[in-house]
Amino acid sequence: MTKPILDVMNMNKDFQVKSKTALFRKPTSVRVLNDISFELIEGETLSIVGESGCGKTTLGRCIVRGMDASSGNVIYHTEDGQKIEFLKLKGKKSKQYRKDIQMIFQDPYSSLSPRMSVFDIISEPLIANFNLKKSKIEEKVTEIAEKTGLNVSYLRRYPHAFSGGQRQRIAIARALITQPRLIVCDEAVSALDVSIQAQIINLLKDLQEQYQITYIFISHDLSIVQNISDRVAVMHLGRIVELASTDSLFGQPKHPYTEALMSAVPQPDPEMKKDRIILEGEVPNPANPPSGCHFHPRCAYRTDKCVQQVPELREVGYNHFTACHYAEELHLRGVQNDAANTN
Amino acid sequence: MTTQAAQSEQPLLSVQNLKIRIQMDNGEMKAVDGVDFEIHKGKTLGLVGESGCGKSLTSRAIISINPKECETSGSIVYRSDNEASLKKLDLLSLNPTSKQIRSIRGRKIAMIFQEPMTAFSPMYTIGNQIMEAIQIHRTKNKKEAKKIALEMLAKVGISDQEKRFDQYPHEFSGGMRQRAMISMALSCNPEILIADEPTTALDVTIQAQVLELMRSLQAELGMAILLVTHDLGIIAQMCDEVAVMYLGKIVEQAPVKEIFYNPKHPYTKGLLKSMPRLGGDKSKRLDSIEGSVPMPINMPPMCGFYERCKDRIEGVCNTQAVPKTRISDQHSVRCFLYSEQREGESQ
Amino acid sequence: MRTMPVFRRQKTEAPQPVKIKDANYSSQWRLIYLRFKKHKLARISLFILAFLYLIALFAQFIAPYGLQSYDSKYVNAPPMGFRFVDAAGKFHIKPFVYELQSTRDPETMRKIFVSNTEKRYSLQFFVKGEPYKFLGLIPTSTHLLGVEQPGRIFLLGTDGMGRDLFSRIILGSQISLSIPLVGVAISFVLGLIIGGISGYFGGWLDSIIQRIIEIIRSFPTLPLWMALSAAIPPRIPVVTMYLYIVIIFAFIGWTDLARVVRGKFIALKNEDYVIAAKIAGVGNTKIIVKHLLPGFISYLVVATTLAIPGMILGETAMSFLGLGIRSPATSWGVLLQEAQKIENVALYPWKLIPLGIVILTVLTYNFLGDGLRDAADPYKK
Repeated sequence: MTKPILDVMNMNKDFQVKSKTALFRKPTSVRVLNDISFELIEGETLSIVGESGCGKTTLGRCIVRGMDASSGNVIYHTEDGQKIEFLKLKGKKSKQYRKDIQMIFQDPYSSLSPRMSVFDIISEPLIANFNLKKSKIEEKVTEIAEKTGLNVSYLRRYPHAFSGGQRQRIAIARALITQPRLIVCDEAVSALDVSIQAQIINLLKDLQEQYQITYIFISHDLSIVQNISDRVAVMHLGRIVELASTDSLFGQPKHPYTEALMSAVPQPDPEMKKDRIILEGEVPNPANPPSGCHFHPRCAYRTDKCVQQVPELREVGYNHFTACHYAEELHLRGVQNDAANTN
Repeated sequence: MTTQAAQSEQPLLSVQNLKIRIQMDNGEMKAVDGVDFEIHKGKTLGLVGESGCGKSLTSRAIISINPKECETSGSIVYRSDNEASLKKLDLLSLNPTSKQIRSIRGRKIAMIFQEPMTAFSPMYTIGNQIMEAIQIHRTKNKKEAKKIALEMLAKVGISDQEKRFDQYPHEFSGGMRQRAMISMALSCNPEILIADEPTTALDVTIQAQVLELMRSLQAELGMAILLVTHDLGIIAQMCDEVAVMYLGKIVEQAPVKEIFYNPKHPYTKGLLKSMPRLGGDKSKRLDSIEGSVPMPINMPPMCGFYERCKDRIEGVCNTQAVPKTRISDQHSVRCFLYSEQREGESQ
Repeated sequence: MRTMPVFRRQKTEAPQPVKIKDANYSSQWRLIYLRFKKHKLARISLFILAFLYLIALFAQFIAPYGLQSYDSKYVNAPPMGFRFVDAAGKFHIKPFVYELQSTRDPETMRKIFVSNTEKRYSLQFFVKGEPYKFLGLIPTSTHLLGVEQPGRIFLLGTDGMGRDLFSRIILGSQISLSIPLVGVAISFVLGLIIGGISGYFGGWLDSIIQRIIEIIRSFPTLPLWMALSAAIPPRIPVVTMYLYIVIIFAFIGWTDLARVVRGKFIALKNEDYVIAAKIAGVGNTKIIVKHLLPGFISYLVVATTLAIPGMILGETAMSFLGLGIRSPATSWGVLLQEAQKIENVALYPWKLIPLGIVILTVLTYNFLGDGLRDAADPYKK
């Protein structure tokens, strides 16, 4: 049952930051992804959460090769069991396998070319990857448009004729048309209104069921993440600090950062207790990260050890990984799963 | 619409029949269409709705900062409780550039925005800009103004104020900038604070800080807050009363608990159900509202939610304007499903 | 009361044949056109410019006299208009002009012209005159208008050598209006290629190209022109001269366009939809042709349009300084150079008419560019 589809191994990404003050100084590099490793099981949804600047978007783009990772490896397991180094694919092989991993972007306004009709947008990956007859292309586009809830008679329109939610459906149709096995959703619903958000989440879930698609779901919204994912990875300043199944992570978080993140979400319930954990200070500057555990300046449980030693990501429960020195000792607050709240 | 008995106290601000129309290429857009609400001293009113529902235009109309294309009508009556000279004043009747509105804007009614970077001039230090606001409205004395500004910075939780005072906006992080904006807005002890999506651009942990700050400052200073947001979570945590807007109209208005535990309008119900929540049942599908928000251009009198509504009554909801119905003293709704109940009441 | 406009029938609507007029189906160019149409000033400018270029195209035909023709009898003659009513008050169906006679002012002894009301020459169309090649191809000697022989017509007066100003302005427009077009076309190509390389490849290549652009742009233009035109041998045919001038302009002009191209390239390269196409497996060439080029070509058109007035003024300035086209070949700059003496302003003000034409052309180009700029990005709100 648990067939792996993708292994991300020791991925690093450095950004070069040009010095603005000095003319001839070498550019300094900022590490935005720091030794990221995880395994992806076919058909699951793995969410990656974290605050802005934690590297989650960069991670997504490096996986789909929208950006080049500085080092590390991504092993793609093809359907017939081959293992392929995805980041090193070139030429014909690249054409064969890259279409298996697609992406949906956050902003449905900038991710669709305003100069192409919806039909051209959706069919573009098809034309780029397969040599199909015109009638066949038409047939496929129509089919996928219907699946994603688009009005087929509007396919000749241009994106500016559509609302945000419909545009996101177009983006989903484009991602689906090559029948990918993995889709990276980068904040795919964050830009949408609440009522539209639910439509798109439901659509993504339906499509997953139908086509056995694996999702990497990148988001900052924990409520959505809990709703959609099987496993969750929490990122902080370029590192994964916790990785566990959704129930385990939300029920018994093992990292203080996860706890604080969950506690900070404003709940749509006026009677909910308001004694939230409010983190002090700001997210540290990734160009100049704190020593030891990157979270220690904002952590309520820190000790000298946290300031000095970098905690490793280790297994502290069944398939529950965390990077905290005191994961076993701390008893952190999770989210109570009480049915009374859900009417 | 007379004042309700339940609210014996006079409201600080009462907005009545506010309409904002914008002429577009393809017709007239009723961006805000007959909005009424009241803001009471020390209370927080939440204005919630999706993008394009007119909530931001409504809040900006109060201090007359909408662009010229917005034809605004109705009345926005402001009653100051401590200054006789400002007693009962219709803000809409004032010229947007007049001295009188400027003496209220900033001094009596202050506003904070979603993106604090645009609210500060990049050319001047943060301290300079806060001081300027104080010097316009409170004291001409420079030393005193600086003292107040430093106090305000301390109050919003900015440490090392002396140093921060002389920094420029770009040297502040997003959360810090929002704090600085709050300190500027509150530096003149306004009676009403309008907060337009104050935390939307911030991360959750920073958002929690800023919301907490707003709450504690309200407890301390006693100002009324008009909180404009799309986030029901924030509404639940912050507000006393909630007005739900859809397509330029307030479709439901009630105290916060009523809205969350006893919603009446199909739109409010739909919104609450479509929102995923922490601790919610994962296996269940989210109840989404079908369709999308139409453009309010050349719209005939009918319920704007008609196309998306599960409980719509054909021949009723799409043929006439929906009147406001009172469910109880403080709970009103614009929906034909409840309009029989109106007959019983003396209105 | 209610007119009941139909409201949002999206769902019940059956699939309809595509209505071309619907903005929802409009491509980028159509949207740009629709927006441009709304800009009144730009539209008027476009018509004026089209008119000017039409005149330039048929200049030899429209101009009554050729470049070489002069008449020492009529030096500095003032403009003369058509008349319908003669000195005796009699009305003539055919417009006519009187013969000009030069006499001396009895007080100042200055040479002046008076109309000889005895001699009438009526206006004629399609008259035979100096031979020329129509559109540079067909040898003919028919001109659009003229007067009966041996009469002469100087609609805008004559210059110090007795040459018809009207003809010279029209003939000069051929050079003055086409040099910027050719110059801009060359800079367009240079800018597109060099700016594209700079933006697409980035890195050290980009740095080098940018530094070169900065160096070229930091030359003061006047000394540069002087240096370059000093390098041009003085006695060369007009056509070669013309080519040299164009090259000088293109050499400076491409830097602006290269910068626009580079900036747009960099901005568009990181657009989500370009990355999406890349992920979808679309090849590099196709991305450039289908996504990048259409994205900035409209901006490039704007930048190009706005670069033309500068070139018109540049040509005028060069010729004015005696560095460009020289008499008897003519351009607006040459005409202005001839009119530069202060006495002209007082005694022969009609010699400054070319200045008005230059201003008109530059203004209309600027208005047109304005209109295009507003329309260039129809997706911005």
